[in-house]
Amino acid sequence: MKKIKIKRKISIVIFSILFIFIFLTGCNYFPKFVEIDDNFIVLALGIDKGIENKDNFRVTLVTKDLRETTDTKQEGGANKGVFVKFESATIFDAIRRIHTIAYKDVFYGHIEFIIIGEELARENINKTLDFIVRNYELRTMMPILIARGITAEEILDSEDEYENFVPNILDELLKNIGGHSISKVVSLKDVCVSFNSEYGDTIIGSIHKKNIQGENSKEITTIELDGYAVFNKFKLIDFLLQNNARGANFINNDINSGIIVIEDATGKKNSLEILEATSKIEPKYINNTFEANISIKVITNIDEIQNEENYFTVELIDEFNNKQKNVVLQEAQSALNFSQQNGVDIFNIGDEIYHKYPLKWDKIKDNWKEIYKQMKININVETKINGTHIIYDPIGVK
Amino acid sequence: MFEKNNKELQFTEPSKNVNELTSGNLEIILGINSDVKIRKLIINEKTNIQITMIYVDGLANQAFISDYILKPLYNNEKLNNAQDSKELIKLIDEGNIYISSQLKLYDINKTLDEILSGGTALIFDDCKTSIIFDTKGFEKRAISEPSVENITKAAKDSFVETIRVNTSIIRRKIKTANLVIENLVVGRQTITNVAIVYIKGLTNTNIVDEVRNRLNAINIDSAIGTVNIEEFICDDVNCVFPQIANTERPDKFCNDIIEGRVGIIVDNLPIGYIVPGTLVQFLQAPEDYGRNYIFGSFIRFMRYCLLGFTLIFPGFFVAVLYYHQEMIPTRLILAISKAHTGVVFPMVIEIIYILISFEILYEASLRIPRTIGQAISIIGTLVIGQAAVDAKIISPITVLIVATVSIASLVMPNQDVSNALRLWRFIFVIFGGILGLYGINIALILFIFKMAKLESFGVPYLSPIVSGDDQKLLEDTLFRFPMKFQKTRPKNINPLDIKRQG
Repeated sequence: MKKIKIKRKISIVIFSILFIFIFLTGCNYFPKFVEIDDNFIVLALGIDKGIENKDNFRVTLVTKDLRETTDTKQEGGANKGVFVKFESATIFDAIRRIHTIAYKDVFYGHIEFIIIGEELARENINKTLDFIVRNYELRTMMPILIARGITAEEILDSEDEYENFVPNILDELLKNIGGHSISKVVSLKDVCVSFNSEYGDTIIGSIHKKNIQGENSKEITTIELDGYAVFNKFKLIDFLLQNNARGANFINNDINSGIIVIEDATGKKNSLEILEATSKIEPKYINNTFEANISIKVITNIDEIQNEENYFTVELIDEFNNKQKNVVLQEAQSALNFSQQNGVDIFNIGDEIYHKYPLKWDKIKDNWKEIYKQMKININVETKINGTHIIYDPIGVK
Repeated sequence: MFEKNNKELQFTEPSKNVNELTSGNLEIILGINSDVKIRKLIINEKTNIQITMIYVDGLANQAFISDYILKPLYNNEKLNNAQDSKELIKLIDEGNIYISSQLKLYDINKTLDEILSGGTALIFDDCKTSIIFDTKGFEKRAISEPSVENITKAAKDSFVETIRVNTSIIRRKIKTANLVIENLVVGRQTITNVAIVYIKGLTNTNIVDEVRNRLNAINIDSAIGTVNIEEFICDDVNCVFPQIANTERPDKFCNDIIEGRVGIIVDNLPIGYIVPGTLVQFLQAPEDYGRNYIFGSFIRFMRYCLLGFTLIFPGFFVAVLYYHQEMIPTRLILAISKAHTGVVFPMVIEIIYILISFEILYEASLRIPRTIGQAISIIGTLVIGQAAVDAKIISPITVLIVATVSIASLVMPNQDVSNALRLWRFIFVIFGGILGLYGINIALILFIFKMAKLESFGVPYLSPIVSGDDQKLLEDTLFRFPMKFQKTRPKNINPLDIKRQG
């Protein structure tokens, strides 16, 4: 009899523990699950100012069309996107109201891009990002892009002649930034970190629609990644494009690779490829004022020579070096001038001063913007040419 | 041969005491059988000594009886000149009959046992003794190739049904004088011989005593099938995992005995049991030792990984697909979503359906006659693979997953472990479908709890992974190191002599 009683006790204990495990987990809406194909898997999110009411937000969702195509001609049908748009007073409200018009459950866990329109960014970008950071379902490592000149809806809703799917295009664009280093991938987490710092300012990558010549000399539009959008606190002020943006990258130590085009003595243009570029910012306190030195080191290879004459002497390499240095200096200087004129500290110089002179920083931090506009910042560039790839003299030279 | 069914009593009248060893009593017990032959012999007509010879046709070798018992009984001068039974017994004791094994018994039950085992009995009524000669001559199966555990680089003999042949195979492989083969009898009606095999001075006597006690405590009618002995010896019948290893290869059996384990051989079963059995032992296959140690280690490590894979992967898949969709990479989830559009059943039902249908296929493949085996396998693939996917009942990705997992579960060298894993897979799928990864964790805790609690003859089931005491984990468990590293016997079975080499 004792054996049976002990077994009963043990089984009661086990069942009650299992009951607690299963039914009191604290998960909302038990059991919450959705079948895989009853889900809209949202791939990109676009946020704009409202059309009907200027205070509203307009949200665009993009997901891939997974319906089966019986039309065998249309091979690109698998790449079509499904767009859903809604406008409402706040972003979360708009997202929830989408359920009234979408025919499936919407799942935000796979969002890969967030695109914010220029008009909205010029007003205030902070209030748009609050929901995205706060909610647990959205990822925080996704890149943010600012749409320059048009709304996010127009970028996401574009269908070019080849009917390429927009998130795929953006994916490829961001993957290949390393080749030219004109912009950089700024994720939501980076934006949050830099918004949280009181004395620095943010830059976010920007995209733009462009017309290029396609087949049969028709014009097609495609998306171009062209530089940075510069923010003063939470408002967009201006854009840094092309080479200026690369100059900002030189100072921020964000260069992966790139091509420097120089013009030599005879007027022909040659190109050099950057192998490595590093930079260092050093603040100094001289005569009761702050100064900073930015030193940039660049190592390159000679990649393309368009001259046909006899080449390669030691003086030539020195000449290339000088020209290169000037080009880099010019790019970096233009970026620096831009930031100093507008009073936006996008290179985090304030941070460097705080780390080196914390007590002095305490005194001046309230006037940082004014001090930054007048601060003397020197840029030193050192370049070095490493090699010339496979051949030495250009072909066809005697 | 052609005798009347109702035999009349041919011999002396039964004595009043039924337990006395007389031929009359034996005839009452055995006389009704048509294959028991009772014959009365008279030796030495002068003194008229009467002997009764009883043997069972089919169990006893007739040639032996006529050549080696009857011939000397009648041709030997000394035997023919015996005065009375006592002298005759003494003469036979001295070896005048040409059969090597000879027993003198005074008990009727033991005589019956010997007669029914194939011996020939000579019964002396007045002295109430019987002399038994071992004349076994029944048909037995020749030693053939093992049917299941076939290996190219090892000996190709296997156990047969006769216990004497099995013990002879073992003696040929282990020639030391310390090998002990003890005999027990199990089963009230079948009276089966069971042999315990161990090495004296090497095996821990506690294990041997425990085996002996458990076998003696079995109180059942028949010991013919495996279930009757296995279920009574093992520690926990309610656990699906086997606690006793069994094999049909004598070389694996002998290797394990030399390591310090105890072996059990049952008459009429071509199986050798090895006790105690731990989980690590079930994942060791003899092929690992035939190959180079690097390749053997690789395969053995893969076996451990596949153990975890086959157990957890379907449940993990269901859990992640339902509750944690953000864990799956984006392209994969788009592909799965596209493959699943239009399918009727939810994923959990699909996976359970396919797992059950695989079980049905296994079971059916055991019963198919060979002639239509090919056709059934084609039907199986068509039904489960092609037709069901086209009819939108299941989606192709679940077929892929369950097929991979099923093949992985067949890698286990022991079939009982494979069956147990297939059963636990269902539990994991159900838990995963209810609670997501949290449910998988709960099921995993239950599984490990059940396995860790299990013991086999005093040895923990998960040792040497579980117990401490400075056990070397990697020698022969996860990987197979070369033989020069395996210097000691496994410590979890506590052999009396630890050193194995050098």
